Amino acid sequence: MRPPAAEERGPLHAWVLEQVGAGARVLLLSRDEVLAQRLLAAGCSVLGPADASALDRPLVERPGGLAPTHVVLSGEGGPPGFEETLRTVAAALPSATLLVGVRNAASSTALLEVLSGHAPALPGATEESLTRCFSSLGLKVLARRAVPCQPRTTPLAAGTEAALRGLLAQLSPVTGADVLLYALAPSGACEEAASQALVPGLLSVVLWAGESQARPLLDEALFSLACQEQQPLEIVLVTPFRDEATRELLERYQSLGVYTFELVEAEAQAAFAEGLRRARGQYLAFLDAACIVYPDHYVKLVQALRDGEAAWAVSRARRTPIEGVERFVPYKRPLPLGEHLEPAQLHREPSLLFALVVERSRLGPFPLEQAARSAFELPLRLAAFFAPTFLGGIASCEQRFTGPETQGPAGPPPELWMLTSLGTVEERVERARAEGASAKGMRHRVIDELNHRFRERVPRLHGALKSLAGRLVR
Amino acid sequence: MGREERVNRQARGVRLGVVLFRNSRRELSRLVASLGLNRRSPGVPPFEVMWLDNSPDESLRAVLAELEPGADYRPSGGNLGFGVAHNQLMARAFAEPGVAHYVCVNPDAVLHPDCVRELVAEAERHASTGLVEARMFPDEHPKPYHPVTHETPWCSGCVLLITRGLYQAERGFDERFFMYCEDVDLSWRARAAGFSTHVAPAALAHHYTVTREVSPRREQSVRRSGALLGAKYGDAAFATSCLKQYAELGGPPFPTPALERPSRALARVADFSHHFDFARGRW
Repeated sequence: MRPPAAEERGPLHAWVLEQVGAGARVLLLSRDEVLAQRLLAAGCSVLGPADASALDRPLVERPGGLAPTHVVLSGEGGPPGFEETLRTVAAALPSATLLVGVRNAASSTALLEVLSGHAPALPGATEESLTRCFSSLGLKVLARRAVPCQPRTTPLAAGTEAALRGLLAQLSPVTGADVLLYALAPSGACEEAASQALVPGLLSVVLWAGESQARPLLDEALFSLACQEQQPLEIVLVTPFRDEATRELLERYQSLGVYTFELVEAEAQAAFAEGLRRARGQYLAFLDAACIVYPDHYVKLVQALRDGEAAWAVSRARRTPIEGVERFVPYKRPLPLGEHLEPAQLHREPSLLFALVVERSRLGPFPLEQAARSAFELPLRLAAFFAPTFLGGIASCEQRFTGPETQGPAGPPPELWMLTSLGTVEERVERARAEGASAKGMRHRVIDELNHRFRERVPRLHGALKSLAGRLVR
Repeated sequence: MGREERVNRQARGVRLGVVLFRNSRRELSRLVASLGLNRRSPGVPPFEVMWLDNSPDESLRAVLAELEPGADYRPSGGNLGFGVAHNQLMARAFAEPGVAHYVCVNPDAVLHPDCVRELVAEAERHASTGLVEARMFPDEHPKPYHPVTHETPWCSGCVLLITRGLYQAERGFDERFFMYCEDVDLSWRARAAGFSTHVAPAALAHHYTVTREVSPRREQSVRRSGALLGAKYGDAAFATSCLKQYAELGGPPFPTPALERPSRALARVADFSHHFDFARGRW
């Protein structure tokens, strides 16, 4: 149940008091005795309801006399009226900071209450509509805060409500915000909202080249990209510092392959998210400098997405150790993915991040940029909502590494809700049963693993036995 | 020091030979661009490229003239096959006393900018080098090589450096092989004659054929060459197995190659125990 109006204004009051200092001249556009009193107690001057004569005139006629440093607005009136008020205030009081509090019409509380018939639909704004509105009015966001939804506001069982809220938050994190608070100031120029339009058909490869061990391998990663066949291609290369040598490498390989490129500076933790923010392609892939792709890798992934309706596709991949400065390869290990890609494998083999292509126009509000901040969880987070297309056949990319292989996940799996049909669950159980009954998959995996270890530890004996077996078979 | 040896020591030149056969413009464009990058690579010895066209017509002449004005293009007058065509180019190359190395280059390969320089450096690192192959990229061949000496049981002909010394001793490819296995044969002959065969790990050549459509003609050609190789080195089982597969693939009849008795040196290096890998694979 929604709180009464006075209680609802609590977050806005706290926000306003945080943003203003003693001596501020605060204009309240709607009557709010409680806030006025608290502002006066904080040493501010309050304009507006306390100045009845000024309020009787249209706002545009009285800005000079009021000269507020801050203006407090509430977005309760719904988008058209709110936008008009903002426009008027911003034009009339260009030097004032606008303090805005809006109930989020797309909060999980609002959505669940409407679904359960517990409250009528809100006419309010969403973060997306507000962002568009601010941009079009030439307002920049100085500060923002999201007041989280309170649990237990619907008649749903507690577990069900929590699950639904969790699922909504994974798909669109702003659904977790009940109230959105902003401090705004004119930016000096009216701008159209930053264009999010994706370039149709373009594949953007976000390539991180920051790890010191992988950096010497960048040349080979770019050589493989220049020789791959998917067109058109954009390379967004992210480095932790400005690097002219990298630019020269990218320019050098443009004579072998057709691509555009952009260089982005970012630290490791934000590398993929920052690169993603700059990537323009409908299709998106991630690589790091230690990876190489085979010529048809992206062609077949993009084609699989074009042929089907999935939001992302994954290929088979190999892990390849490289030894010494001459990059000797003692073996290549295919990632043991079986015939069906299971969510658990996305967790066990985090480097599958480098074996996927995402069709960005099929993700809706999914927060790809935010998910890319924990890049190795990204495949699992995608899988929570979108069943991928898994390409069988042979591996078409390699993730190379130096030193001992660190196998397995980087940490425990993230807390996630999965959108999975009962049919899919039944299929998985059926496959697991079948594998258990024949133990075929397990047997093959065990044999592969033993063979792999045998070859690594006693290569001569392994070779001799393999030759013998070869002769016998022939 | 004899005249020949003096020539060998003084020779610094490198000739690249490309045998064409109905190649696409895009393929040649990438190869030519990669050759241009190699020319600008610091420390690379000067090299020239010879093009011999096995195609039924000369339509590639114009393509090449556009991509590389002044290219040394010659039609061969018919499809001579891989070994014969390269032998002709090799003979021309080594007829010039200043040429130390000949490099076979497949037209569907793309050379890394440092490829030629690294091939030559590897050849000159060892006293009795016969062959040096580029490392295939992005999926290198799994056959073994020594991590330090880079010695390998055989070298692929895709991007392959042949030294003047080996050419003088062995005269290039055995022309009985039309295509396939001639590189394995040359490698075994080189090793048997006391030359070393190496991989140049830093000389990358982009060449990926795994996903190419399987052509029955190609498969037949591989088996036919396999049968010839088996017979030449006296491995009756391998030769018979190849002939059987050749017949199963519907290959037209050809004279069964006679089983030969290889010298001890040749028999020592030949390895048929790993089928068409001709060596134990690393993976």
